[in-house]
Amino acid sequence: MTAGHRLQDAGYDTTLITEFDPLMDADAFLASLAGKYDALICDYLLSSHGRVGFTGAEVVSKANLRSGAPLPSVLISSHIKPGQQGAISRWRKGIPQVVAKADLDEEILPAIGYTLAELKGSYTRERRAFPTPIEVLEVVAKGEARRARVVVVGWNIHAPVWMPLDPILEETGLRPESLVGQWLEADVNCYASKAEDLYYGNIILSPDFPQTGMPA
Amino acid sequence: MSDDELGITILDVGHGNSALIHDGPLCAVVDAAPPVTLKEELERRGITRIEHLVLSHSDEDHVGGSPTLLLDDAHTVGTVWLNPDWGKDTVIWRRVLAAVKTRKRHGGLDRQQMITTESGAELRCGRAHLEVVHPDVTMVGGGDAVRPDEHGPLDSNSMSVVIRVHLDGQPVALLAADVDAAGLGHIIDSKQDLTAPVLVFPHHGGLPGNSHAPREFARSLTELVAPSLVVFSSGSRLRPRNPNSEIMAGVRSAAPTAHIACTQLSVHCHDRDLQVSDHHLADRPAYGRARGRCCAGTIAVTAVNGVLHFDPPLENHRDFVLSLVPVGSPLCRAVLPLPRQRSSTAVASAPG
Repeated sequence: MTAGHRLQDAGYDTTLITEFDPLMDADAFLASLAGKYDALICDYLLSSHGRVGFTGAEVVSKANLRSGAPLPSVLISSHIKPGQQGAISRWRKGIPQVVAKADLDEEILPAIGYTLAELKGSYTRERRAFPTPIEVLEVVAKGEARRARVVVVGWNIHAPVWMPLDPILEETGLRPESLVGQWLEADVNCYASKAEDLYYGNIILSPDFPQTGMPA
Repeated sequence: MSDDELGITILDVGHGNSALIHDGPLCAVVDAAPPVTLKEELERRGITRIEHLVLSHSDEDHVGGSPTLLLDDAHTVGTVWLNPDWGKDTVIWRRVLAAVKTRKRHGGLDRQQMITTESGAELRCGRAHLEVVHPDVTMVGGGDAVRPDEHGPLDSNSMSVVIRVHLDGQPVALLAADVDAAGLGHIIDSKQDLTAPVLVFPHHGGLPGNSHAPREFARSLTELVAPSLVVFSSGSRLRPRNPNSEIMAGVRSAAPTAHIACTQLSVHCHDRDLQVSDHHLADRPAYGRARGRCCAGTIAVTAVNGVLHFDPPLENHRDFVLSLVPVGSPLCRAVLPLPRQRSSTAVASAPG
């Protein structure tokens, strides 16, 4: 049974959106959907439909995190390239699950259920976030995927991961060149099984350590 | 699971150590290896507070999961007990301390304490008592000047915290962390009583530091503990050659009738690429279960009216090990050559 049939059997009427206003950003796109739909299923890559000013990751995350009137949204993707993975990580907090297109038929309804549960405040162990120290080891500030190599202490004491750089800069006010050696703190879903499933909220400079990092 | 169950659960965490000591909802944790198994067991038991978290020493396979445990706001922690070892200035240890500081500031962690043999009086958890057998204050207070030691070079393993768990006043288990020959020398000097029905063998059955006599090390420790069950908390992926065959020989020569149980299968015993069934395992989280690599898996020991009960039942594990004989050569059942000075021809029989 296809995903479309499963959605219809579950009581959803489906509408396919294939045209986007190239001048519209994700917020405006979401505003255009307001009140019309009960759920949104969005491909990561929308540019096959012409020039689009946002990715599916951004729109899904913003839809789920919209205060007051979230629109339950599921991100689907076929093959995630390394650069795209960074873009998804940037928005991962609002993406409860990334459904592979190959699994769409089986996974779409559970994914909607998973999203609805999270919007009601019921997080699985793998998605529940709590404060953890983060040690910054390296910063890549150039190129499409700006990122920092960090150790998320609460996730894996040993293995560094790549963390999106822009949220760190936006939330701490630091410059990229001053980040290496710093200790940050963020709310992270530390029981995530894979690094790409981590998300970061409330990023601050850790008050527990001098800003030059831990003493050697 | 009864509400007032008193016991100790030795978790299958692969290569590493984690043990949960519990009296009903009260619990203490000794070591926190990285995998999620410990968290799963805490959830299964509905535990929302850890009275004591003891970190035996600074190796990742003992403390790698402790930051997650400390930071997780699904439960609170009373006291985290840290090894005062002077030789543990490692990156990993500094990250553990970062987690301690963060959780302390956010609330949910009452205090952190250094642990030595003097700490034992405070390490109580309902009817369970954690007696600290090692290290003592004079040993950890010696600083670098202690090296070299009369029992051999000291390192972080030598300073491992060794805990003797008592349930309802009866000694039940010796949790030996990674203590090595030098550390054991100090314990022997202290003339402490180490006897316990269960020995969680140190260093996952690997070689004991710089000792050139692993069999003698294993024999000495096992004789002092006089266990009826010896557990090797070993993994089939990382360090799959544990337990060392000389260590096993020492254990078996000192306690020929003791039941021997590895949490996961060793390559000595079974082809590492083959999976085994989990029918014999306790219905508890075990890291090797999903990979089909559990030998005894997670082992729970409960005390009921002074009698110890094992889950999985030891006879179930024995039958499982025997079922491996046609396809492997279980180290705990292998014919054991005795030292030549005792007999050049005799062999020890496998335990029953």
